[in-house]
Amino acid sequence: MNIELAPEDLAFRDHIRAFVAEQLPAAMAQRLLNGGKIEPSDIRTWQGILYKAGLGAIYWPAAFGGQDAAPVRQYLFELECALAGAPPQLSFGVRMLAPVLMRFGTTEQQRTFLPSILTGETWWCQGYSEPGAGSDLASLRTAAVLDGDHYVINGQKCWNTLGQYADWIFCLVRTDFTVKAQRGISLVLIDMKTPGITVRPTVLLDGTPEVNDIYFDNVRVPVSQRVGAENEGWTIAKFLLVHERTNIAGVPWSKRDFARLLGIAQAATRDGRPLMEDASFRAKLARLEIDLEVLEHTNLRMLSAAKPDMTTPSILKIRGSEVRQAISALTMEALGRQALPLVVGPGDAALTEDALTRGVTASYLNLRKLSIFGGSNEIQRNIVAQSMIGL
Amino acid sequence: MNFDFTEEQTLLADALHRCLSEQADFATRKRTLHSDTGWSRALWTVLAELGVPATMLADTDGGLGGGAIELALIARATGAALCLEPIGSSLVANLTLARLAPAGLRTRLAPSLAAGTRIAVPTFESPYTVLQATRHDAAYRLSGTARVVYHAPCADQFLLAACTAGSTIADTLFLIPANAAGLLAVPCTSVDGQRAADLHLTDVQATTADTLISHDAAAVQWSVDVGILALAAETLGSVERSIALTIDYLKTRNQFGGPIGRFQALQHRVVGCLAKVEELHTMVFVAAARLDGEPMLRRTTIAALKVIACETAQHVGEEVVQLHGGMGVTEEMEISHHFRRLVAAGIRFGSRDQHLAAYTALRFPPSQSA
Repeated sequence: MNIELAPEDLAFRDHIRAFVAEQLPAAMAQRLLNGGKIEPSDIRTWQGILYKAGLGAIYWPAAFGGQDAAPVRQYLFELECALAGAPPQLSFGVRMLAPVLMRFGTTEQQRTFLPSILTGETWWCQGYSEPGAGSDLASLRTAAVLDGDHYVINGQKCWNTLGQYADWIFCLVRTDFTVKAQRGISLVLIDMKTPGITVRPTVLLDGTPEVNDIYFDNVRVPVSQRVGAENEGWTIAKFLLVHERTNIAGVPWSKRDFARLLGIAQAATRDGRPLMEDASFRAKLARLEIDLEVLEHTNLRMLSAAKPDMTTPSILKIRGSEVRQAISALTMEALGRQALPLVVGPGDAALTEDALTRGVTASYLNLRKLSIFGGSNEIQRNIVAQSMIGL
Repeated sequence: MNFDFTEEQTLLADALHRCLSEQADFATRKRTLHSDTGWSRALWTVLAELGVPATMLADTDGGLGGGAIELALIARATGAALCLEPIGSSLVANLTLARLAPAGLRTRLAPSLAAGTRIAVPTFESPYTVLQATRHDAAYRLSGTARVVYHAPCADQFLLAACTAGSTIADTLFLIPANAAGLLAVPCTSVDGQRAADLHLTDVQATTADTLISHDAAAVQWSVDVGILALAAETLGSVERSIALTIDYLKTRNQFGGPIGRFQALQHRVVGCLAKVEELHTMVFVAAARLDGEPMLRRTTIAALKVIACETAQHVGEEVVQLHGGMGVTEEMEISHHFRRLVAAGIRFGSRDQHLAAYTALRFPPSQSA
């Protein structure tokens, strides 16, 4: 057992740290570290910079333009980027669709779609949930009916994240209504410009349209854009869930948020005294730092393990979301009444809103999603219970 | 980076688990618990033959040269088996002696400590002690009281922490015989069934040459931290076993026409326990890895470990009893014995709040904001 990073990993981390310090646009980093909203252009710009440096997707196989990076290195990479103020990479392409294409896609599909994921030129989104299929995803009803060499797609997707910017969507659709729900699902790739697609934003509680409803009205998709065999979609969706575990705990983002919390707490006052003199607040801060430390090492214990186990990712998803939500709640508490204004202006916003308060409450509201999406925390508990108790 | 154990460490843990499941099953333990002494010298002898007390001693002294990881693995196994023998205590004493005792003393003690024919146990769980060491020429006189010293009735020797004149925290470690003149032991049985005693010392003679192990407050704190690690690892073993017992119970107890484990309300409570156990597992071995490292990092990690261990002990202990329903509160069921062990673990070596306060003072001192 050696819980310290190996010298090669330390060297890798230092290399990434130096790269980020040099290449990450300073204005963008400053804005994001101060709670500014992440714009689509931030994500595109950063992915382009990473691609040019050969860092577009370091854990992809070298054959596809990656570096075969081990999970611990992928974690170090994400940590360095997050702490420096980089936007996240768009996971739908790099982390979700790409591994699926490498495993289930045709050579032609790999050649067509992987390069522009790596460069950041193509923005992908995900079409999974439907109004009647949330946690019970397998009950989805968006229909794909074969018509010659095309599928004709009709139905509605919801909770589609950032699809208003998307060039393409990967979608789970029903290709067989006569069999058990899980057996009649296929995965198709759809160009968002195809006639018959309507995108309607859903405004969330923080005031932003982060998600959309997407309507499909006789949308014609070539059969060649199906990934894997017909009715193999559920297997692919499950593969994706198992594959996507490196960042399931979100530790890099929690560490970045905790650093901001510390900065805010050190500048804040309560009843005319520095907040950091308040014993109960300091104890809360300490308890939260312990949670973060435990989470980070539990995550590293899983990432460095030779063989993956099935229950730890779910537990990490639960704890990771809880810890990050707790950090955002304590940050809001540290600000006191300054946390109240969600919208500032008209007038000189700079007088009210500053780098210290920007986005804190919006972030607290927005991060409610963490324990709901990607398989709600209750679904994660079901998964663990199924594995451990099996009843 | 890896969290894997070496082949030797895995063999040690496996051998110990096998030995304890064969020779210290719950029925056997129950007989031991109700025996006069409250522990089994026969089991202790078997464990000594397996090399358990020798593990912590240096190989140059005839020991096996183990360290914090081995200590944690052994303590975890004894926690799972709810051992009543002075295993955790003697491991802490032996490792402290191996690292801190003067060479001559160490060489003299090592063979009997390694063989298990001499049992040393620590009398302190924090550097704050009311034991005073007063210097008289080449000897100290030790006076004061040490309360509820675990495994004191099994001990041949006590590893004592005391304050010298002018010090408010313990700054000396002594090893004195259990039958020293001026030492009175009043036995008690702790809530978890383990035997203990209050030790009353009145001018116990402790010569510098024969009994002084260390004159260094930092060494006392290090030894306390070893004790916290051992207790937390024992707690890990106990909660792991408790959850396994509970899952078995949920699968076999039938109500409303089937096993109660099919109810989601109960399943989710089990998962809540599993999540706590994963965290304690992580912290036990992170703390073990940092035990001999940079002192400040060791201190914050050990404080964090005890916070997590206390919370896990209380949460899992109370949950597994609840999940056993009425059976959970009976003497007959193993689970109630784990619960009592976990109650004691929450109290020993200081509460969750004490350790959170220590962590807070180190990481976020109030002066930071000035």
